[in-house]
Amino acid sequence: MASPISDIKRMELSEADVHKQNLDEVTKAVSDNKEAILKGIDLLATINKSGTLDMVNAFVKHKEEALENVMGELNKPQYSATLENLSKLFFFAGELNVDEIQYFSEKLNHGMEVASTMEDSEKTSYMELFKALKDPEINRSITMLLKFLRGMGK
Amino acid sequence: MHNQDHILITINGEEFLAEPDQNLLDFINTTGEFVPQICYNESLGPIQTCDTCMVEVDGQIVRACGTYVSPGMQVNTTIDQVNTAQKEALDRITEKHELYCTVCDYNNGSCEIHNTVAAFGMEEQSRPFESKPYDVDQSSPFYRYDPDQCILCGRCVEVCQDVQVNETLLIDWEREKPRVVWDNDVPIDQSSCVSCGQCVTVCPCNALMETEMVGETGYMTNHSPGLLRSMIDLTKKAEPGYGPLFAVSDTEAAMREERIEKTKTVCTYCGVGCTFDVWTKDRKVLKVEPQHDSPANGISSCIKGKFGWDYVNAEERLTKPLIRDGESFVEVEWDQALSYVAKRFSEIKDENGADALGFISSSKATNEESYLMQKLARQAIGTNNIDNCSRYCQSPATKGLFRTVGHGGDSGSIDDIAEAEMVITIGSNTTESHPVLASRIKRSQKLFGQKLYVFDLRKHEMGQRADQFFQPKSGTDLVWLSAVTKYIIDQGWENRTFINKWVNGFEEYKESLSTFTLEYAEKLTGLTKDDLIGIAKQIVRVDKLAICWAMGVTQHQLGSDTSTAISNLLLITGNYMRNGTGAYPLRGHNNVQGCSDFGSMPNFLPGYEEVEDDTARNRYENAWGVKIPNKPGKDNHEMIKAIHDGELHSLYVLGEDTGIVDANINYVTAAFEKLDFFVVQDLFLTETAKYADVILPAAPSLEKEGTFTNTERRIQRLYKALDPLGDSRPDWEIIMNLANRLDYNWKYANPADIMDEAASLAPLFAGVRYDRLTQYNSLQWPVHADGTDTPLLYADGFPFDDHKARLYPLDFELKHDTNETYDLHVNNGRVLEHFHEGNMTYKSTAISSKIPNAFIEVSPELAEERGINEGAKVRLTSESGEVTGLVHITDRVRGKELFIPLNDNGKTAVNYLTNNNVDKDTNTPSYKEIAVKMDVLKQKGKSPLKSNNYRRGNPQPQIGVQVERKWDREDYIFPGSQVKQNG
Repeated sequence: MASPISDIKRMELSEADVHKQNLDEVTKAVSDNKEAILKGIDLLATINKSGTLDMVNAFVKHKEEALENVMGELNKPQYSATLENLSKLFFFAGELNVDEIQYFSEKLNHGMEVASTMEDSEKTSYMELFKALKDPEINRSITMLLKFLRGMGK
Repeated sequence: MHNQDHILITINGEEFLAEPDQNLLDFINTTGEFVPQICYNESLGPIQTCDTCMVEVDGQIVRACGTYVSPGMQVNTTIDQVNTAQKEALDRITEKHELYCTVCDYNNGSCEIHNTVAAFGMEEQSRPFESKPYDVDQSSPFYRYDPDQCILCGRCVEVCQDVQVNETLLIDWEREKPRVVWDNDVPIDQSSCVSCGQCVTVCPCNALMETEMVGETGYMTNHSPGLLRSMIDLTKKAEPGYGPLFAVSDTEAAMREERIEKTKTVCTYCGVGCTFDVWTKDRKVLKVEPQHDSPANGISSCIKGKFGWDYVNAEERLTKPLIRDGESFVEVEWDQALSYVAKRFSEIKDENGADALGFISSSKATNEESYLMQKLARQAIGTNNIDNCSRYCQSPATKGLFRTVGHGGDSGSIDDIAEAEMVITIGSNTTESHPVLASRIKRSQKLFGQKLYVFDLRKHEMGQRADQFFQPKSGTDLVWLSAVTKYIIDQGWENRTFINKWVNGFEEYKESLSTFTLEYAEKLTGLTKDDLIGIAKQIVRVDKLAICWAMGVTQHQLGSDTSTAISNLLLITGNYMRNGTGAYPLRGHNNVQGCSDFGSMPNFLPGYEEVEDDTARNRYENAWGVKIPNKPGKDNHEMIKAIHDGELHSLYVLGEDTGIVDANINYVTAAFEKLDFFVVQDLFLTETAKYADVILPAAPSLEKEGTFTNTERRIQRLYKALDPLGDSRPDWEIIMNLANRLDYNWKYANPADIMDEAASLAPLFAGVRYDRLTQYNSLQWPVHADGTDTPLLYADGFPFDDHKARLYPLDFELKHDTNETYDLHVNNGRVLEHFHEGNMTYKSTAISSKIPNAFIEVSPELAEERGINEGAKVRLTSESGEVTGLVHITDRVRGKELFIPLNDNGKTAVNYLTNNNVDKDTNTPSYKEIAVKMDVLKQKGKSPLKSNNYRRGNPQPQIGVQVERKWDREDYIFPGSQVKQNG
């Protein structure tokens, strides 16, 4: 004889049991992944030392506000040109011939180095200018500049 | 196929062979050439709205999807003009749809706009996105529509109008900014939408999306709307061309796969056997996605399969075994519960013999679980007292088919029903009980001229759509079927050739029909002689006839005989052995077919071999090392009686709410109270479980592996999408645990092992193996050892010794009627939204918000006679019991017919009214034969049918999306012509 019933007595796990069950589960996971856990601790220690951990923590907690601020700011009209430039710059970079720029920038660097040794009082007369053309270093620079000007005008 | 059947066409200078009349885009897609396409979908065919598939054909720019191949056709897909036209079409799309993929919930690798724009290599759009002046429609609890993201491809309209054929969605092409509208432009929730979700499935982008997906799928999509908007703006500013934008969004989409699992499963509701991918994130079900390759359903689904999964995570789920202790159930560990059950089973067996125990399998559980349950009964206990819920519905159909054609299943596939020239449905509310299958019939009738004749007491949707609708008097289908058959023979219209070659017993059968004259049929059924002659003429006029039937036939005292009469008619007219013909008893539950197939029957071993057949039984005895009783055991109905008679002392019910779904539940639950020991295995504390001594917590389909067999005899695999909740376990594990406690050393590592054993013993499933059933692959039994299956039965003859079918003579006697006291007839059946007693579907708040409880349908004429209005409260009393409920007045029922949805387990549960009468051949309760009297408790009240129920909507039938109306707009220019003008 069994009449219909619907009351259920749940199995009451004591807090200590639940605690122990959870700990067992965690201990097993730690033991199964020892190497990863140790590396993880190392990583945490490193970013903690540099103060990054606090920053990341705060940022994650305030993610929505942070994103809202950043988005709100970046969407203001004054940034629109910057953002567009950013992307244009990105494409511009793709079109540059880096090898040649490197060649030029080396030359420029040399020039600047020497130029920086100039005294304020130093002057150059017309005669000195003509004479200087005979100096092979100066002549190479002038020729290069003239070729550059020709190329740019094409 | 021979070469002469093919035609030669040239694409970009290369010659190809195509099939005559093949769609050009379809063909190009097989050649590896790329042509952009968005509205085209292989399941839907050409819609011609998106204009992206521009190609040049014989010098003209045309839509490839709107063109069919012809001999010598010259096609070019790459010239500049074509490219420009394609680009123009894509520009029009990006004008309507904002590409903010990274923060879009639809960025899951399958967005067809994203993929097309990327594949085309479009770097920039020529014109900016233009917002549309409409709000997002969030009124439905199932899905939402964002007009701003909608590209008006019309796939949703196409699928609603011509695949689901619910005819709710259309595009209003004439307004300034066209949009998709529901009915006559009402919010989704107020429309005739049945929430089948197919529009969402076919939407190529995020315009239509499941509510559960919104804000859930992406790493950056779950933000407040304002923030999301500014992120979209920033995304667009910072990502200048589509190349970089897609690089970022594709990476993000790939990352999503880390946390969203997509698992193939089989629907757990009706017998159609829909398959789909279920998307889960942790335990949350995000979405159900039917596939083009889903064998039974393709891209189709219904509200339950698409959205009815809340029960899996319902807080009412049982997560620990329970043992009755006084007035409470107490949660215990498995060890204790299993030992206790094994001990009690053994004690009862020792004391009263094996036949004092009974076992009931579940049509919700897998084939493997049915197999194990009958093995537990037959091997570990030693009794044939094993049955399943097909006893409540489909056993009579199986009986009728066994008598005549030899296999207890659908003759063919759902494709065959769709292909028939004429479909007759009898006692089947197909649109609500087998929604996806009904859609195939509705489509064939709407688009391809299929004739639909519907026989039912109730003018449900199929009745309303039918070419001819008949309402024969309850329980008299056998009479009109036999009279029509007799008339056909009398006129000499029978299929002589077929009968001579393939059918036995014609003369004897013909003689048995002598009483079924037109006059007799007219008197008993209420159909006129002209009706009957018309039906006969229409049947012989067509070459391919399929007959579908369901509970309106089987749940009568003459259920088996009526099923037999259907098969007789098909034999006389030669409607077997060919595609597009045959008998289709529409199976009600996901695995009601498989549960019987795999042996949970008192008289059958797996594969329908009789327990009385010594050869078959010996095979199992040898394999299992025991003696099996050689006489059939008790069926469900007999078990309940045996409890009352003191013969059955223990019952183990798996996944069945017998105390609600069996007939005359007062009688059934009274039996439960008399049991010595009662084990119930279920997801929930059901009405039945409340009587149990031990309740074992089981896992639903999403939490286990296995196979289900649908109404087409199609065996399909389900994969595990989630872990069992709490300490619940899959049924097969629980049964195995029990067998092992009873000292039978079962060692199944997984369900595949169980299937291997079943296949090795049952010839019907000889070739069934899991590696032949991977993903969307399926097998329709019989399956030969080499893996060949049988989509169409009887193609080479019937499974009798001489390969001939048998006509089976019948007679008729009206078994039930109303009388002076009980003057009303109660019919009952399903509603679309709920399933069975509702243990699963009522757990969905969304579904319950549409239809929170059952109701009583009353005809307008009866309402007037009794002076009641919508929302009245009435009590119905039969000889067995009473129910109370609220009245819904509708002309779906007529005269003194009432209808109660069977999906209720409260005061309106119909089985308080049903009685102990059964089908004389199978003991299936005659649920459909209830006479009641009605007492009015309150004359009017609030309607039980909510204002947001689809039954109150206003469908807008049309064919397809009517793209011509788009083309007729003044602002429409064909991209091909535009190119010419500009070029």
